[in-house]
Amino acid sequence: MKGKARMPGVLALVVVLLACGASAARAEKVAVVAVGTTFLNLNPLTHIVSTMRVMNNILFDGLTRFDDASYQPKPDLAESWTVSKDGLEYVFKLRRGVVFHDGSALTAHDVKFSWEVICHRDNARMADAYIDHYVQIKGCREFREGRAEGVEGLEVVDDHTLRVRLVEPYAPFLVSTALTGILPRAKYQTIPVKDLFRHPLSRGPIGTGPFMYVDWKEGDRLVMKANPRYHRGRPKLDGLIIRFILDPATRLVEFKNGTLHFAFFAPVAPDDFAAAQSDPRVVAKAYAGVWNYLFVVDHTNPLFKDVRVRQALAHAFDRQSILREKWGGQGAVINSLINPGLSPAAARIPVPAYDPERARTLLREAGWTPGPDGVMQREGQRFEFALLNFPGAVKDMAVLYQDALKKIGLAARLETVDFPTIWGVRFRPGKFEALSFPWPSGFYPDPGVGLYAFLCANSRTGYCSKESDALIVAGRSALDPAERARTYAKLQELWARDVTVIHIVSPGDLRLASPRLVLPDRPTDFLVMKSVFEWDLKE
Amino acid sequence: MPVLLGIGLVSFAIVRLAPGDPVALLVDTSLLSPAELARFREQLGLTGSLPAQFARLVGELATGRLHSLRTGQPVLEVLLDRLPVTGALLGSAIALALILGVPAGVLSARRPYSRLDNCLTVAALGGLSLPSFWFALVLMWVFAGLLRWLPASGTGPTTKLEYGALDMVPYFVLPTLVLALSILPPIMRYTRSAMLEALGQEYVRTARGKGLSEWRVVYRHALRNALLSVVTVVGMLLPILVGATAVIESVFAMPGLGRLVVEAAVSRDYPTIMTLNFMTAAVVLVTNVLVDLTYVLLDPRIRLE
Repeated sequence: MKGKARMPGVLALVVVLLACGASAARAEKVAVVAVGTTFLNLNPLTHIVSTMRVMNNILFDGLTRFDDASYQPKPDLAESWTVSKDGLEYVFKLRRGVVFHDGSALTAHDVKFSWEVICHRDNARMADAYIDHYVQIKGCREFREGRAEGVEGLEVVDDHTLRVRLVEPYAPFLVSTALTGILPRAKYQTIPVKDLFRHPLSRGPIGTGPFMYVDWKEGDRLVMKANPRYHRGRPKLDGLIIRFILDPATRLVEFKNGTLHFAFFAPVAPDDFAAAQSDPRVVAKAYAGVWNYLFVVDHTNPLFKDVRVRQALAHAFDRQSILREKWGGQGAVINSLINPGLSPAAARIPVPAYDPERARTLLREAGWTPGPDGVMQREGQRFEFALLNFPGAVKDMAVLYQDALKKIGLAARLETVDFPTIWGVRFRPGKFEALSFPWPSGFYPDPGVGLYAFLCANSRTGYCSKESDALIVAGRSALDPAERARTYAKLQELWARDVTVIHIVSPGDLRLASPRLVLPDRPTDFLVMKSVFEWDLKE
Repeated sequence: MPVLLGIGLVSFAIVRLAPGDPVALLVDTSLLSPAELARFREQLGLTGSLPAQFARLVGELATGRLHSLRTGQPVLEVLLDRLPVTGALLGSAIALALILGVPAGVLSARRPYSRLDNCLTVAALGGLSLPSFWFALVLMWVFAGLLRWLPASGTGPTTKLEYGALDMVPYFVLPTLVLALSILPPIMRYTRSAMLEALGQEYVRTARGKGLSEWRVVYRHALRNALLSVVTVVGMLLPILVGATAVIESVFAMPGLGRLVVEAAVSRDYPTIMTLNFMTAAVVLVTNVLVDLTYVLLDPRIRLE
């Protein structure tokens, strides 16, 4: 009798032990992602570039999100919103039950606090976010200039309702709300904004995202674990480690060893990409490129003031050949600063044909004739100039430009300096002559984002057109999608006519991935990173 | 102290003379009003005359209040956080180079112009000629990529959220090897030269004449005198080795001081650059003192005054 009574208990114990063994045997699913840059800070309210591009939708959430190819804003922390007919008022209903990583509940006060930090006068590091996204909020400018105690246009109606009033209609506003992570007011409000950047809570932040901060060894790795209380459910991954591996050869070896699963902001050489396509240890992925390689001239320089000279330059480059030889044929040749994925008109702007003869004719019309050494000259002045560039692919492209320009009689002299010198000092009207430079477009899912850089007041190229300024402002103010599309089409036609910059190529973003990693299908690697909640690792 | 201050002054001048504005790398300055820009510069300690900025920088460094322009973190904290990686690399590289280089130099000296000596000479020349970054990539490809005996980069496994010192050992093998091989040839050659000179001295002939074993003659008598030159060359190679860590740590993705130097230089992070320069100068000065002390240990005829 005793033996029989003992049997069910033993069986139950065996079942429990087997179950424990099985769960212990299941390895943690931790994806390792390399980035080809370093992070300075993890606070989305004090540092925009690397943090917001990578960490939003990982550590943090915005009111909306963009994580698929439709480029339509989806509810995230806001479960719904209404927009007034004039586009000046938004009312966001926040999702209930959302908690921060420390367990505190999200309320509209946290959203108001977070956005006010960006508008704050002591937050100079967020100047581009302020200009691009937040200055349109009523009262933000006054608050930043110290003329108001708070941002008048941000009103907490109740714990889960936020009313936002704008000074003018701003079509990309919902992009802004996707890009800014929300932080808990209770934890951050006691920190003076000028000290926020260096505060420990900016290095070990608290957000609402699908992953929670665990540890950050600067220059080595950022370790995060799955947030079991995430409002969309627990992520499939148990953890995510971001490693800062700057050298592409090192990343390639790590991929082949199976110790790296994806890389973001991390270019792969076309040769390595081609080789990876037949290597079972890695998966080669080509995404739509977000970088345009440009030949930029200073419009205030007498050499380049005449539009016929700029048109001649546009005909000097064999773009298809450059794309083939330098970038393995991966990418596109377009003639617009706006990504075709965001504005169909971009693909319709004609690309100047490679026509050195036409280029020489245009130069002759502008008064330039070949000198005894073959270099164009006019009134005793040779057409020679410095072609500024920085090391890497940009310099490689500059060498190609130099070669192409020689064929039409222009003498470009390479001047290689480091990026900080170019961006901080030289890329200003009057400080350079010509420049080989990559410009991003397509990071953010709205054609109006980032165009503030081409207004006369901010122009680095010296190009200034009242018509262009008016179209940029009109484009971001128009709420009707069809009207916006027409406005951006006109803007791109104007830029093509004026030859604001000479577009060369937009190489595809070549990436490697582990065959174990299950990635959502997205057109850009930026959108893939925004979808990390959906990632999975096969055994 | 005066030497350190002088070095600090020179490096401050060089860094400030270099083109590039750190503020422009942190924010698009065209978007800030003059008042905003002035306030931001003041927050970063970039206002006032250059002598005033230098004095402020030295004062903040001495009191531990100096912050990185790039990350906002206390510079001393950042340096101390990164020091163990570089310290471990340098220490093990020097040890390995001495363990391999000194015996190789002794062997060469004992059989000058033999086939062994010629092979070691060629190997030394090859080691001096090959760029360390190339060598690093080759070793990584062979041992991590093809053979998969060692990890390719980093300082610890990514399969664990926490790991101990023993877990880190495999990650230091390749970088240590590359660094050691960069100073091994000069150590070997200097040992060889010093040994050849020592072995030609009369006291060596006397020692042999007295019937001492060859081992005793070479290692107890000749090598001890030859080591003075070896110690001197190690002291001279240390700054070169420190510079090499910038390349090695970047290739192997290790968060050490060498990589920090690159990051700071690229972003014009003046406080970090200055502190690193001070620290490097201090290390070189201390190393010179240690070299002098080692002379006393090796040669009882030398006295400290």
